[in-house]
Amino acid sequence: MSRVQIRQAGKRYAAVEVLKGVSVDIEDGQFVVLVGPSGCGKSTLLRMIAGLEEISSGEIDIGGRVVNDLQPKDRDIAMVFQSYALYPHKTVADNMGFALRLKRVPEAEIKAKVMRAAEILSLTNLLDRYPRQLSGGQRQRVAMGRAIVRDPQVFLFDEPLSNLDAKLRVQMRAEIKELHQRLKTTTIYVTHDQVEAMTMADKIVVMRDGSIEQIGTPLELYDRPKNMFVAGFIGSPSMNFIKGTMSSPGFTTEDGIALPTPAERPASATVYGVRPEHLRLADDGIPLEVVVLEPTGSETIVLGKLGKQNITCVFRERISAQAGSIIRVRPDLQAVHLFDQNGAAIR
Amino acid sequence: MATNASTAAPIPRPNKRSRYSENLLAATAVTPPILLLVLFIGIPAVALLATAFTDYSPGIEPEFIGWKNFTTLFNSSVFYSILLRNIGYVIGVVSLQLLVALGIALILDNELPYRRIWMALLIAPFAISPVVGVVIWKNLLDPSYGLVNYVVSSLGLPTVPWMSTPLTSMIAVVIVAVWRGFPFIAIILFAALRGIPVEVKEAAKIDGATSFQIFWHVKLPFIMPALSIMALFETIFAVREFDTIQTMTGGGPGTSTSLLSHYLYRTAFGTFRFGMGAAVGWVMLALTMLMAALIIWRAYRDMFPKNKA
Amino acid sequence: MSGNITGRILVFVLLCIAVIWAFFPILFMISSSFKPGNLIWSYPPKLIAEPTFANYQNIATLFPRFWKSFFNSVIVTALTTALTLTMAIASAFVFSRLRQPWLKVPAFLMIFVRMFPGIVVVIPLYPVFNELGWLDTVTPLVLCGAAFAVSMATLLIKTFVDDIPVDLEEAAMIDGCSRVGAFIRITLPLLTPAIAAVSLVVAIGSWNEYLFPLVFTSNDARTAPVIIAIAMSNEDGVAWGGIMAMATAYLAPPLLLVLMLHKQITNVMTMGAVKG
Repeated sequence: MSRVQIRQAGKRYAAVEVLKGVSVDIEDGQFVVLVGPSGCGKSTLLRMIAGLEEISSGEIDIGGRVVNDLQPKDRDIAMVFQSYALYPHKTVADNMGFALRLKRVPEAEIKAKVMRAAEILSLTNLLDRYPRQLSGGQRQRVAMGRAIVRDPQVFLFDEPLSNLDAKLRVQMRAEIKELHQRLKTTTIYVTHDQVEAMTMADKIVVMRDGSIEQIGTPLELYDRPKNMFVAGFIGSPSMNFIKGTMSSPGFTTEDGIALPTPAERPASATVYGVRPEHLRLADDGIPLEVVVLEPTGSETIVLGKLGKQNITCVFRERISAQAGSIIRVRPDLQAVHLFDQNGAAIR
Repeated sequence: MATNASTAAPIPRPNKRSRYSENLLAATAVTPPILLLVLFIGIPAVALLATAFTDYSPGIEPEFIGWKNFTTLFNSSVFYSILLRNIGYVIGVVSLQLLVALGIALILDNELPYRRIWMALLIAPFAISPVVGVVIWKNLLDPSYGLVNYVVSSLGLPTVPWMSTPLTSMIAVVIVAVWRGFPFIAIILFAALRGIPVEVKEAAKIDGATSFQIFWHVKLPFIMPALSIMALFETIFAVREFDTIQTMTGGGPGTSTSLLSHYLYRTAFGTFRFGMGAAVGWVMLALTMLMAALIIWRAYRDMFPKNKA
Repeated sequence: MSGNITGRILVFVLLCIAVIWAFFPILFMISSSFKPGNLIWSYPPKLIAEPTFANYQNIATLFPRFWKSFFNSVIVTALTTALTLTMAIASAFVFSRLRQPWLKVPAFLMIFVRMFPGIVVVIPLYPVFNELGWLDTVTPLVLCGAAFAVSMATLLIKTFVDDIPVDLEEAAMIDGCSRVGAFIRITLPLLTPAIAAVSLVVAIGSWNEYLFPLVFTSNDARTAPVIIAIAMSNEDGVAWGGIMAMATAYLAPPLLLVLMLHKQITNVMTMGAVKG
């Protein structure tokens, strides 16, 4: 069983606490994405799992074994680095076979395993090349090949796609996901890109400032964010937050505009959240002054103002409106979020 | 609910093991060179500083005499003339080395066919030991049969009595020092010149600058850091000049071409006045450290940049 | 650069003068070493005259200690370079890869102490080596040589280690290497050219060292530069033919290496100056 349990793992450098005792339970075969803005501690946590950073406090357990005191080589993990970290003086085949060679696996077996991995990743005709002779996408594949050849308990990915161009990134994203479905190896994947997290993960861990904000499936995070940070981080464009006050007739913005409000009306709500895609054009809706109109073809993004507050809307239909003109929109009441003054979700 | 961060409540515990092994690894690697530096440079230097306050020759118990060696030294006209000569020598050698090196770096900075071959030939003196440098230049500068005076006289100029007077002897020593020392500086300056962004030079050209103006307003400011560091380094090396003096003139006639380190050597191993020699050593160390402080600070800062942990 | 023809010609003329200044003296000595004794001081001086190996054949009779001293130079240089580089590689790895706060102390010591002039340490060391029975052996030459070379070598190699991404070592650690194993198996092979060049610079310094053998040796352990210097100061007249031959023989190894590896040396020297 290669379940990974992170229990109260903490990391401090001298006086700075970069990871404040986080706990995550990763089930066998799960694809877990650690996501958050830079400096949130996600890479540190990954490196602690790998054994590249010492664990200051708490425990990390891989497959039923506490690995705190184990060297990286004894943890039975494989890692794909952001820079790929391919050995420049070794061929693709030697890069992929290096770990097995260190374990003194018989040469014939190494060859067979490298060949199998190369076939999966369509690297067969590149095996004799050196890393410098490969394109970015090919290097990425070799780095993955090096990981899968070892058949480890856990795959670790540290922002593996951030050095690729946008088109290749989408393609590799799909390839990694397909690979995971095929190999079913427990995977922990670090990224700062919420789209990557949403598209690939079985389970997402949202982190900020060394703590976990929320753990859940992509749709759970999208539908029921626990706080404004998660609500704003997941989804693109970001959720609109409208400040105001709640009273029995409904939510009123700071500018005194009454918003359509769900039946539940907790008095502590001070922020009204609605995603851009949950605003629809409606003749009886709230008035929005158009500031900028961005037609992308498939949808139309409107940046507008509700009173003094900025609002973004995404419409499936094409609309024609001038900057300065007024459009009327209505939120989907099912998808309205309410937050208290600490940013915690009430609804 | 997957939003439950944790169910277990384990005891957080610190981990000291890998910190310990890293310390051990670092100590193992650093101990041998530090031991060597302390035993063969650090302690001797301190011992020298102490010896300077004693009257000491090998085989005789050192006797504490306070500042006497220093007062003798600073009352000796020989020491003053050597100190002054050493300062003059340093200024002469360093400025000539920088000038020659800068000229050669500027030449190399042009579009040249076969530049790698020219560079190889130009840095060749870097491989030459001071002793061989002296062998070579003693021949070339021979007053009666040497090639230099032959060329000078065939140009119709008066020949130079090389190595016959203190002045011409010193000039000969300077020539050897400059010849051996310039390649290192030239390479550094050449690299600095290559490091100037092409756009900057092109912008200056478009602004109508002449070659000299480009050199003065663009190239020189760019290579100034390298130039000043080299000046410091070469000064430190020139302060300690020993090999060339010892093999070329032996400091003579008399002490007329002696420099500090040579004077130290003669005092210590010629007349076996170790205490007195040590006092000269103080003066050299002081001069060196004055120059070296900046280099030391810079090197230390580069080794541990502020933005790294 | 110089678009016009006169500019190009001027640059070329200056280049020729520079090359003559730098390289001609070496050529002149090499050619003199092949001249028969009576033609060395011919006037006007001849660049090439009746080449002969006589001077080289005479070395053994004129300067019976030279070949022994040449051998000593080889031994001292080899040992000094090996010792220096071993220490320098290990400490460069530690200085580059580990972040122990106390490492600043040895680092400062290295940077500080390398500025000391060699002449300053020979006085206090002389009686100590005498006591230890090390005078006139290669031991003090190797140890002092390494002590003075190790700082520079460490700082140079550290700058090269810094340029190798630490990711590579981390990947190797995950692949099954220990921390030191990752450095030796992955980083060290990538540093081979740099280490070769640093070795060469250290070796040239050791090969050319004059002060330590002058002070610490008297007979058996004398190295070549001391023998050549003594031959030059011979009161009974200087045997220039033999000296030229000795000097050429002594000069040949470093000169050939520098001419062949000048590119690598240039890189290393530039690195050292840029980084301190």
